[in-house]
Amino acid sequence: MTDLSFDIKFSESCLSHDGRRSSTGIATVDEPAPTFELNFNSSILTSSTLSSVKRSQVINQEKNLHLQNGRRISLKRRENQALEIEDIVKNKSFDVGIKDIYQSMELQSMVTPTQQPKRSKKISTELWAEKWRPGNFLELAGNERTNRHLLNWLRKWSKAAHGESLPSEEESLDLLQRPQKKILLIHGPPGAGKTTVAHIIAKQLGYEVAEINASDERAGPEVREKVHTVLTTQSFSKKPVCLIADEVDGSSEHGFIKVLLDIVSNDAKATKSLHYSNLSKDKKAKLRRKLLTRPIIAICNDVYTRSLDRLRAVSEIVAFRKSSTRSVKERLKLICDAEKIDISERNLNAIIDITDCDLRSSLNLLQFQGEKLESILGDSDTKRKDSQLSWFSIALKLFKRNTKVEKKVQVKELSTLLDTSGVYERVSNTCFNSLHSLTYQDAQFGKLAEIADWLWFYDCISSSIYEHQAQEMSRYGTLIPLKMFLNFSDPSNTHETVNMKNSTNQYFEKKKVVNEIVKSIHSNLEASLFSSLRRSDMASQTLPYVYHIVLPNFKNMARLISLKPEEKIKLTEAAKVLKEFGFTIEQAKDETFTYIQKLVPPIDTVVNCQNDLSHQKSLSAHANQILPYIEIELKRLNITKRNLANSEQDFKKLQGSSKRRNIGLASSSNNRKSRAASLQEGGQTRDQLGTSIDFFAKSLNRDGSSGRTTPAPQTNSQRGTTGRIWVRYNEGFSNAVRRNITWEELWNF
Amino acid sequence: MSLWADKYRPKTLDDLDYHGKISNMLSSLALSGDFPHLLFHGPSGAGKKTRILATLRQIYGPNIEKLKVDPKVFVTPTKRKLEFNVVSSPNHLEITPSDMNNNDRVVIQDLLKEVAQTETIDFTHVSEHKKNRFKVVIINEAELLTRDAQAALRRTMEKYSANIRLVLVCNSISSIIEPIKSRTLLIRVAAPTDEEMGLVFEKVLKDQPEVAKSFPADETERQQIYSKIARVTDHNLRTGLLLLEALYSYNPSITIKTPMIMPDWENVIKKLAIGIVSERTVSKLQQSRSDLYELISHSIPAKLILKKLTIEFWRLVDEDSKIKNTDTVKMDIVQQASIFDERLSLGSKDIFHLEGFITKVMVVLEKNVL
Repeated sequence: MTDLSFDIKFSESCLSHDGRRSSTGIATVDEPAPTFELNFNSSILTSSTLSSVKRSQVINQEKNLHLQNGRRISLKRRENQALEIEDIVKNKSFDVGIKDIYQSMELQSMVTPTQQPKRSKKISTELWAEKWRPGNFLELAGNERTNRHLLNWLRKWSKAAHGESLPSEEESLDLLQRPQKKILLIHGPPGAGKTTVAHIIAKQLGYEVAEINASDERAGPEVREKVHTVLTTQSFSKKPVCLIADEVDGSSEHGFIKVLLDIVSNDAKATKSLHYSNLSKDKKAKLRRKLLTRPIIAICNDVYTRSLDRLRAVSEIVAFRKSSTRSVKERLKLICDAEKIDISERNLNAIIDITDCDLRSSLNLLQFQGEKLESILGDSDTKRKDSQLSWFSIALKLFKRNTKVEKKVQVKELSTLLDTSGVYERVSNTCFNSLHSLTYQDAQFGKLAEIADWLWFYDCISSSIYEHQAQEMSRYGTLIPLKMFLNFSDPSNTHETVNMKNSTNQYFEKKKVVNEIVKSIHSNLEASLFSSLRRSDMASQTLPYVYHIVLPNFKNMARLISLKPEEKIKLTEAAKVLKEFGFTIEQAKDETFTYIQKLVPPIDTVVNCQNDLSHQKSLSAHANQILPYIEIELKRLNITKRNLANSEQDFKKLQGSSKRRNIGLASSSNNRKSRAASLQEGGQTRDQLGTSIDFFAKSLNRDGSSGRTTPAPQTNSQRGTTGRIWVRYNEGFSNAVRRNITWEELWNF
Repeated sequence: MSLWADKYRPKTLDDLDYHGKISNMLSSLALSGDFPHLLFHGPSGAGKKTRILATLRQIYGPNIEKLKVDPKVFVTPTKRKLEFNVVSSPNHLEITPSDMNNNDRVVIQDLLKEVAQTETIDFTHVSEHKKNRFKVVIINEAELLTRDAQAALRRTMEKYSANIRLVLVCNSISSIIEPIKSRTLLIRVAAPTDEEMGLVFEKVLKDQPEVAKSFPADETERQQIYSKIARVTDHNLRTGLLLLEALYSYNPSITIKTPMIMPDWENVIKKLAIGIVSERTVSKLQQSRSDLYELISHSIPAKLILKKLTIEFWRLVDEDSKIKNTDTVKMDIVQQASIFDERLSLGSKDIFHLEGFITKVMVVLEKNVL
């Protein structure tokens, strides 16, 4: 007794202040009671001290003692239940049979492990979900019809796997008396019993189960090897193997699914050739090895993921639904009876409701919350499984005010929904998209203005999540949809007013296109321009003006042939700029399949911001009108800068191949407009000798940048003496002429 | 060099048309053969780059114009390959941080060190140009350098100052960190005035007599056109010259009445602003959202949209007779604009904030309409 009280005292002082320990020593000092209380009842320290004092005295004896603060506690001696060999030896001091010792040792080893978890009332090491996993077909709860379907399918394999013939001829069998579809794909919500059913049915029909699940490495050659071994070898039990591929809908399962698909397709090929053609024995044996003689069952939650697209086509698909409430309840009752749990009907219903007919999680709930069920069911929110409500139904819920429920209640419901679904981003974006199509009451844009600030908050949160990986911020994200609810929910909103379409994507794509164009223009610029033009300014500052510079406007657009000299300068300037920016003119077809001239890269898509169609049309019409003339100008620029020797050489070559080209030209004269003149010049075919070189009907392989290298310039007069120039008039028509012209005519037309 | 803006770009310090003081300072810098790190700032189109190149030309001679573009490949610490273009001449090179997104720190560190650690040895000019054995690195759009990159820069600037000179070019020095400002000589190049721009335009036209024919012969009339151009382009000489050329190209002849060629996006913004001031409804908001989307998708910077919108609102409020308390309304609009400008810089969802701005402007207007 005394040493106990001392012990407490000592430890208290020891705990409270280190320095006091030496001064107080062993004596009990009357001090004001410390502020904290210590209960040494269960402390290891005390119990070990106790037992070391005198065990024989304390056995089966209760101890009452006073604590410093006046409380009374009673200490119970812990019973030592372990059978000790020592005792046996002591009791029978002499004739100790070795058998007895062995026996007791065995006993001890059996007893000790069960003693460890003594703290909890019930002793069980097994999860109920595993313990009560149905062991045979009859124990399965719910989905009876599907279960039978599965059984049927597997039964069809009997011929191939077991070699036994089926009782009745079924028409859904293939040539080798196997089911038509070689893979069974089971899908359904978690906890519906897919895995269990697959295992049970396989067992029931005498298969050895080989399971490959997500915990196994399922990529690359390893899995291929594994699957092949499983499917082709015999097990020790002489039973055929049934391959169960669990959880195949992960994103990283492409490799595994490829393996399955390969097996099926190989099998299909082998079956065909085996059946229809007469092959040598050797070959047949070889083919037979490729045959699939074992059933494969694949299991997934979501059958419509992209990775399963191809597997779906070749497999028998079985949908598992949630088990019915009734069958779940029956099963739960059975288990409760067996586990001796007294549970009311109401609570059972509540459990099923919480877990959404998921038998496994119901069992987990029952096992681990068994005693405190009442308290859980009180606040059912906490234990609820993450609901699978899609983001658009949440968005719809947000805007559709339920008049029967109080606003407060609805907010709470939505908040849990958003918290558990974790799709606040999608929801918020949808909210923003449909903001203007909603019906709601607003005075002077007060609500909208408020939302603008909340959207800023949303932007802050999402950028901090992305930039700083501040995931903890996402918990505030649900506030934005809730605010939307408070401001905009109205009973009259339907799914029509809520805009699910994400319009941002469309603009995002467009932006990408524009950026790509600007980038290509910018990176094609020569060094000095490249450095003086900022890419970020191109679209807003430079290109709009350049667009107008390269497409000059004239007083008389109809008679562009007879331009005044000062107007021709504009054309030349335009061509120069065009060349400098690396633009080319190409022919394309518009929506009405008429030929139009286009600038490439398409600068007009960058420059035109207005949605106005007529505006765009007038611009493109103008471009179409002027571009042919600019192109001539562009050609001329290239010519004048070419050097003499080169052109002479080309000219000789050209004469040699002129016949060939004439044919080409005739075929390429499908121009829309009857052109005033079309012109052929020998010098410019440096790059495209032998192809058609009509100015207007474009040669296909013309390299737009061919003119960018700048050899020594050459004068017109020089050129005039070196070669003849052919002009084709009304080319392609019956009244076509071919005659010599002079340079003067050409430059001044 | 066929755009007027490039064709008539002054090549030497003596050719520069305005900011005589700066030119003098730069030429004395160039004469000494050495210069400190420089930080040029000022609005775009004011002539920062022109002045830098002219200075470099004075130091290194015409070599500086032999530009070439080299694609460079960097490997980021995350093993991602990063390719961007470097414009370089034998004596200098130019980089633009916006090409490299968030990896500019790596580029700054690696590239500058690489340049700085290789000493240029020029045997031909050893005697006369002993001093300028350094290479010049021009960093365009320095305001877009991330903080990390700027921090990486500051030590390099000191450590390798024997071999390297940095010239930073930026529009605003507000996002340049203090240590860099203290290590550089700040040179502000202000936008040219109406007269200065007119001077340049006049020079351009004088050089091309055929072109000048399309413009009015009377000098005051021409000046009027010039100042109109200056106003429309925000005194950006570069765009001013482009506009002048576009006007010439697009119109048979130019008079005072010739409408200015506005980029399409500016027209869209103008229309948008008019619509908002005259009609404040939710359907208008919806419509303006699609306009905003259109503008953003044409790669018009959101901040520019905000700025132009604000200016338009400001103008419209003055003109609209139905709006009372114009001064407070204008103040409120500007205040909202500054709030949303901040949001645009900090946030990433431009459309939210642009629309938010419009909504707030509607609120302001709604309260003050008779």
